[in-house]
Amino acid sequence: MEAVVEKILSIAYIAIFLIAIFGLMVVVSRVSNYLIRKILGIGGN
Amino acid sequence: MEMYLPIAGVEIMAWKLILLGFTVGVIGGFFGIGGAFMVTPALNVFGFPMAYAIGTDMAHIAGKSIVATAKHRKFGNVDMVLGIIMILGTAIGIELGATFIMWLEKVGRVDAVVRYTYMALLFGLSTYMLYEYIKLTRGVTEEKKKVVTDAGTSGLALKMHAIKIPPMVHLKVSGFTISVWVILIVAAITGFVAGFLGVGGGFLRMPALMYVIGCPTRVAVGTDLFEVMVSGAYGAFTYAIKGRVELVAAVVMLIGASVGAQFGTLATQYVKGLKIRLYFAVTMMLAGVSVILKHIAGTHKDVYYPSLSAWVKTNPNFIEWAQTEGAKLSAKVQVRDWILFNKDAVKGWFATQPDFIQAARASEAAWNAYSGYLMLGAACGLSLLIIVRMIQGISLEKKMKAGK
Repeated sequence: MEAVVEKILSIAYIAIFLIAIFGLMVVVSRVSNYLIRKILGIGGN
Repeated sequence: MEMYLPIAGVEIMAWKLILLGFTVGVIGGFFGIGGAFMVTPALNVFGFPMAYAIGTDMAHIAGKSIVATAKHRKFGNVDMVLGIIMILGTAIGIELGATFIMWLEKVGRVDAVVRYTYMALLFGLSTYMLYEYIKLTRGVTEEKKKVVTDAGTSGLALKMHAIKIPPMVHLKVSGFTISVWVILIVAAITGFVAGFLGVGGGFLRMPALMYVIGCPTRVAVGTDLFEVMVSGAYGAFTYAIKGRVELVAAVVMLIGASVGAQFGTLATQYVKGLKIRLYFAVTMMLAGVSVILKHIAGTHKDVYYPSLSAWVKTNPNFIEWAQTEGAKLSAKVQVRDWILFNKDAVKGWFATQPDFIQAARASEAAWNAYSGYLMLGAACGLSLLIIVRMIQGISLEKKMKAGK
């Protein structure tokens, strides 16, 4: 039982960590997108 | 800034990882591929053991393709219906491919078969795409070249569209109606080959979407990225559970990749579809050369690996480990993993070996390095070319607007 709980927890930690780094990436990409468009002088998304 | 990566036990300069992430981000966003064939050998050159290089690469690919797919979706390049049907077929194909490889492993020498197939595919596809590019542009005046922006629907794709086996599905983004069975079978075949080769398969799906399904180049790029995103996320998760993802390296690479992917996706708006096909063909040809270099490295490994493997199997430490922690692994993987985690002991063994074994080991490392540097150089050169072309396209558009 303890081993199963440990396994579930480790999977949950990894899932949360992966979601967090992908979230960080979305923030970085949004900021870089804004900067690229500003520097290149193009509008839109 | 030197970083220590505890999981893989490697010290590396952070800028190298950011640069690698950035360049592959540009290429992945532009071609709609994961780019594992570039990142994995390059990480290996930086000193990552292969198993960690693959896992770290998976996490990087998953994150990068999330950003790139979202961006392509905004540009209207992702055919979601096609992507979802493709995922289903690909999953079935990958399973069949993996089963087939296990059967091949049982009957004989699988490594050489996989490598030769990989080389044949890379050179075959790239030669065909180069031939198509030359055919469409040869003898065409500069004025007409401006009008020819994409290759149009191939003859094979038109034949596929003529198959009317229900259920039929109308792909709004791609702009045609096709039988669901055709999509499923094409996806299953590309998935089978990807599973057989042990690769993500973006380099196969992208041409399949263009030449067999008949998607415009940009839609093929966007839709393939959607699939890369799903398979990459699954791969990253399974490798992370096995403890084979160097998360710090993945995060650092992702920072570079998220910026690179912006450039790559934006570039698809300013570079013609035909040119995207040309650059893709060149990339695949370089990847083919890299596989040849890897193959040469493999022949040197064959010189010493049987003796090393025999020594490992008689090592008391290995026997104890194989009966406890490594008990769940196959005999082949047990030896590979033990070598990976006991670098010092292996080094000691090499020191006691005759000159020809040490020479073979050095040659293997050198050829692997050539392969990695070729991919690293290709990634840097291509991403630079893509950015330059994009800037040229933007300034041309600005001039045209000013002219109006």
